[in-house]
Amino acid sequence: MTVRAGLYSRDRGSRGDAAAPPGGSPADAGPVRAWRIVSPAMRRIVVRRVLLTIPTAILASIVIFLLIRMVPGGPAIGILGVHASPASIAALNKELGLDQPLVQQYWQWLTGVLQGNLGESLQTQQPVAHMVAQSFPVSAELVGLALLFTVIFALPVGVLAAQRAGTRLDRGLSNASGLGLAVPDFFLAVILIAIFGIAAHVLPEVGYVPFSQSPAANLDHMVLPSLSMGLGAAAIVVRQVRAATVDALNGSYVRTARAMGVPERTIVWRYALRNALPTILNVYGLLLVGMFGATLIIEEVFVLPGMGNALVNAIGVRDYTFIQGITMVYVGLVLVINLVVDVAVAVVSPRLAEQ
Amino acid sequence: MRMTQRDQLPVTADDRPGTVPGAGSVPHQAVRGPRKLPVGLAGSIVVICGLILAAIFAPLITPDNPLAQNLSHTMAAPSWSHLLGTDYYGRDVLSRLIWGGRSAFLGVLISLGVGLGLGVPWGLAAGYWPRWAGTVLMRIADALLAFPALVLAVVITGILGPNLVTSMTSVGVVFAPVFARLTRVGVLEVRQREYVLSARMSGCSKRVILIRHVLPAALGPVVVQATIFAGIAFIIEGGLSFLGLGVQPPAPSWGGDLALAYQYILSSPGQVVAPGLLIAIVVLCVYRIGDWLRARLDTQQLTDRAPETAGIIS
Repeated sequence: MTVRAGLYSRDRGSRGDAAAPPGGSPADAGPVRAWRIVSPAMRRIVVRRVLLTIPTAILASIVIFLLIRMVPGGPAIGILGVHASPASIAALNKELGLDQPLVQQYWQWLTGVLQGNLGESLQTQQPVAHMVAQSFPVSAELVGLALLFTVIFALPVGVLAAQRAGTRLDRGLSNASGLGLAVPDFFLAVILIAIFGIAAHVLPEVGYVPFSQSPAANLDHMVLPSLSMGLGAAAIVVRQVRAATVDALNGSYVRTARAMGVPERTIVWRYALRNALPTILNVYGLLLVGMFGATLIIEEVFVLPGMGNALVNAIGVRDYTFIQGITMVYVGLVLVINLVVDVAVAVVSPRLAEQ
Repeated sequence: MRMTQRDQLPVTADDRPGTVPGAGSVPHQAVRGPRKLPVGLAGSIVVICGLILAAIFAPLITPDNPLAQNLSHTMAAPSWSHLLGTDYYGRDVLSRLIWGGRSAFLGVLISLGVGLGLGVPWGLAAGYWPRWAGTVLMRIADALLAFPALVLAVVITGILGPNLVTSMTSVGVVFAPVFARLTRVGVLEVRQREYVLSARMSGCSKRVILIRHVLPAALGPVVVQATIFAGIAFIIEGGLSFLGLGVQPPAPSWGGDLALAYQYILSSPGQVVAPGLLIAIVVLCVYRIGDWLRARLDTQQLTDRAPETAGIIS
């Protein structure tokens, strides 16, 4: 402990603040003291980030709103077909509120969204919010398991590759992850179904069982979907974690720590990884967003009743109000993910966040 | 020393030793040892060029009509008359894959064309007029980036009607804000450089300054990103066709054929291998070429040889 304290202060004293590890707080200060030091700044950062999110959310909602109205000929013709009579089109327009001025339509929709009212599905006549609430847990479980998979398996592998940078192992991992990047997730899904579902018969091919009904069966059905999502993501994680850790291991403080005889394991897992963490968190943020996008395909392949499946179905039946509502939910998800990542980065590395 | 130099620029080092760039990064390269890229790179280029040629000359080289059904000869295993077998409708799988290459390459071209065509001017404007126009333009980019890429692409496709052109145009729209951001960053970096200022002082028009002086220097990261997106675009094209939002059956497409094979995976699981593997191989080759391009551009930027970089890019 004393060695590390000395190491830190010497590094800082000789080279000034700029050379201090971007991890920020001294390793021996403990999380409590570090939190007390950054807390007021942190609060400012959180508030600023939330405020910055608002215009983005509003603009994105305008994009969604206008997109739906870009249906060639208007949504009513899209729903009823080109041979519909003008009277029926007018009636449907009136029912959907499309005969009102654009600004008024938008305002009504926006105030509804802010109150949690996403409109009514054209197909099922149910509230969109209700349908989303039913399908969200399925997608969240899928994405969560895939993410867990990358954290458990890919993160340590990336660190290992960085430790052994330049060796045969590193090159092998790099090639393997390159392969993982190139295989489309839907192809991987189909192959996994063929191998584990059909040939080996150890896991159910497709379908879904609610967790509340049977936790074991639920997880059984989730293994292949989350694996087909997680393997590609793992390739990204391995590459990015490796790159970030290699960068961190090149830091002057690592050289000093080595010279002072700090165990290599402490250097890698305590100093280097901590400095690589902002990058890793950002990668995970992007990954999470990408995974929610990938649910569109994976849920279709595995017939899971999640959000992605619901959106693809809605597009098939031209359920425009549902598309509009669920897309807004996706935007909300992304904005929350980005917000959480930014705040997490600020917690881990106050110096980066100040910039 | 000579060894490392040759390894750095395998294509031109032997013919034009004087033009070898990257002397500054030799120690780094020496530590890493000889690069293995060239072998894989040559193979990748051959594969991609071969597939493009096959797609262009599809009518001449395909053994069969990709749409001709033969319901008495369905799901056949590979044989001399059908090298990759036949699908559920008895159509020749090889012929369909070759024809499917047309939509794959065309689709990627469309998405990159739309992405670059929208994104680069977008970023250029935002970078050159950073105060008002730039802020507004980048806020719009932020808003588009607040969608999961696939969700936005699927929604736009669903609204415009599913086919190859609309789906890959929408993918281009999804790519555009990323290109815009990269271009903007590059432009912001160079717009205050001396040569740009002197061009402005000497009375060059805005258009000439932007296109001739600012843009080339700012494009490096955009080109690198474009190669990455090229690989991603193949995957998305396959995925959208798989979902039935891209190329519409019975027209052949890799993703669509995979979807058809998946429907009948219980009776003949081997059918899914060919189309999926083809997409994976193409993406692998595109990434390989992209890696090489990135390494090359990076090296040249490190050694600050702007004229050569501009030559490669433009």
